[in-house]
Amino acid sequence: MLIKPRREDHRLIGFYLGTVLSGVGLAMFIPLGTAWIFQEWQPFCDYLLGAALTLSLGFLLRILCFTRKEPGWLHGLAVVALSWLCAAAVSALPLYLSGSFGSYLDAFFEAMNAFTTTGFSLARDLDHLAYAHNMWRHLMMFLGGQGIVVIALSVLIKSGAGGFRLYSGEGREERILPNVLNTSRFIWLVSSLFMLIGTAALTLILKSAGLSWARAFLHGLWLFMSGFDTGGFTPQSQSILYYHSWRLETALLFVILLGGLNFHLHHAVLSGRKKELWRNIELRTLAFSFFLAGFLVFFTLAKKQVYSGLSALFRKGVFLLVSAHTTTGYTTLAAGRLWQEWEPLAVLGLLMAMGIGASICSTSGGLKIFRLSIIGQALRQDIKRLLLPDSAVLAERFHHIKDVFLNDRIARSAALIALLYLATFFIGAAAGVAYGFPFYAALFESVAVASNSGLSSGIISAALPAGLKLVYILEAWAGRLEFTAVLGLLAYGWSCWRGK
Amino acid sequence: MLTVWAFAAREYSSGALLNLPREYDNIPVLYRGEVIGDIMPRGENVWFNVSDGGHAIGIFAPRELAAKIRVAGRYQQTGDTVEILGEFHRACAKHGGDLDIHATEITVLNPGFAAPQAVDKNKIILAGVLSGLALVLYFWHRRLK
Repeated sequence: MLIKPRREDHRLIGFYLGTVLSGVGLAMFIPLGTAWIFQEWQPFCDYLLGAALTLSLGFLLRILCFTRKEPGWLHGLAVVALSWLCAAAVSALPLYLSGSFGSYLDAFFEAMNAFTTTGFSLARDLDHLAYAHNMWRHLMMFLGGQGIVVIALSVLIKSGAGGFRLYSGEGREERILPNVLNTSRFIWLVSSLFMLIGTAALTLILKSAGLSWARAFLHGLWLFMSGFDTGGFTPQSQSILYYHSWRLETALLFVILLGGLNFHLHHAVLSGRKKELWRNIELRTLAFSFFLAGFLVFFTLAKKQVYSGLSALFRKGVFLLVSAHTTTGYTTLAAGRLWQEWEPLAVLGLLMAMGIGASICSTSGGLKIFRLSIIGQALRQDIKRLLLPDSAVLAERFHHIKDVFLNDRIARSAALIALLYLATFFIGAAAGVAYGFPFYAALFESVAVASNSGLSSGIISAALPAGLKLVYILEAWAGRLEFTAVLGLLAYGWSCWRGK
Repeated sequence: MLTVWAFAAREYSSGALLNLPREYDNIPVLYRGEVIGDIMPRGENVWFNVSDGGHAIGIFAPRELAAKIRVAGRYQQTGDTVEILGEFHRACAKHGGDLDIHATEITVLNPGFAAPQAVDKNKIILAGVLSGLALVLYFWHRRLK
């Protein structure tokens, strides 16, 4: 029998939602400070208003729904799914007030694209946007990449027992350290360490590329935040092409690859277990996938002589391929060039890479290399089973941080999530086609949104119909949360309606 | 030679250049727009980006030519409007396949200017009221804990 959630269950969800909103409100003090430093008084008011409203809502929810209870699984999933929607809704307010977005929906689209690290922007004039707004856009991306609930866990929520339910709802299944609170803090420690080193390196490169110290630092910080979190926002409308610097492109390749790797792997390497780099099933499959997608990209680009020299071929090809595979979405091509100039087979290589994505427990999106490895292993096991006698006992093992025996539960979970991603890709594509866009372009855009990549076939613009904007917002949200939290929220809603 | 080149050049928008880049590859073009962001010196040359309102295109120019550009467009700042005469490259072999224009002549048509925005008084009042409310709720919330 389906049990109808009681008032206490709603209070619990409201209380944790209030905690997350308070965290978002506090985060708005960073763009507020930026506006103060650079004397941008209009944005200063926007962020003061946004922070005050978000904090008021957060505190009010915590007062009205005050509880000392721990969240259960369904509460955790509902909190995570709602938190991401509500965080994007309140974060859109200062962006909307800036006047740089055509409507509140456009600002909401921008905020959701930032939090989910998707990277599509509907800003009307990005090249004239205030520093404070750029700080907020990139900060949202950084917070979203780390997981906004992970942040609330490590800063605002002190308990660990219910914490794992919130943690895993954000698309992170693995505990690096035994305690989930320590795991969240470890993720923050690694990210902060890389942030310090990465921002310093990018600042020096940008300074040598001709930017002033202040702008080199700001652009370095923003590019690190969006690069490490495989988001793809940039402060200028031309993405990375704006800088015309191969040094910057090379440095960003390292940054986005670091972000696309499993935090578990970072922990293993930092703990001295370097052999993991060779043995890990995820990395092996990632290398194979890079090779396959790279073959499609380079073969077709070379055959059709899209670029005249080898250096141009590799500079454009490698950057776009890594950007797609880590679901970052940075580009070094001028607007529309990817779709108009690259051959369909090369675009297919990028489409595959985006759909697959990089590691689980990383900042990247897509169905994830690990799941693909598991599905491959399960397929191999089934083929072996057909070839062996009935009495044979077959045990398939793989190495991912430790040796793991493949069982039906692991394979089923990987296959289900992969299936949900594929279904979302096609539903998004069908919506695009219904709005009159060609199928291949609509599929590319849908995969780019649901895998939180951000490379574009040119469909997404401020002129996009509102219905399609909503479809893409939902796709980005569900894809980032890997469906589990969204299904949890739906289950909670269903039990509220039909439960007894 | 430069005069002949300038005579041969026609004015193109970013949309035209980006939509049919193979057609205009390696030919002289005139391109007009606002200088945005940064002037980035690289040795004897500079890179900067010019937006005509549609898209922005990277311009590679000798330093002395770009010296006449004073203001680049940013927040509350409209950049110089310039006219670029130069060779368009769909995928410049010298610059890693970037789509760019190598400038041979730069004319500043309109100098850039500051475009300050007045702060909306209603926003200030609303922000003040909401900040007060947030403080009250914060202390109430602390007492509850």
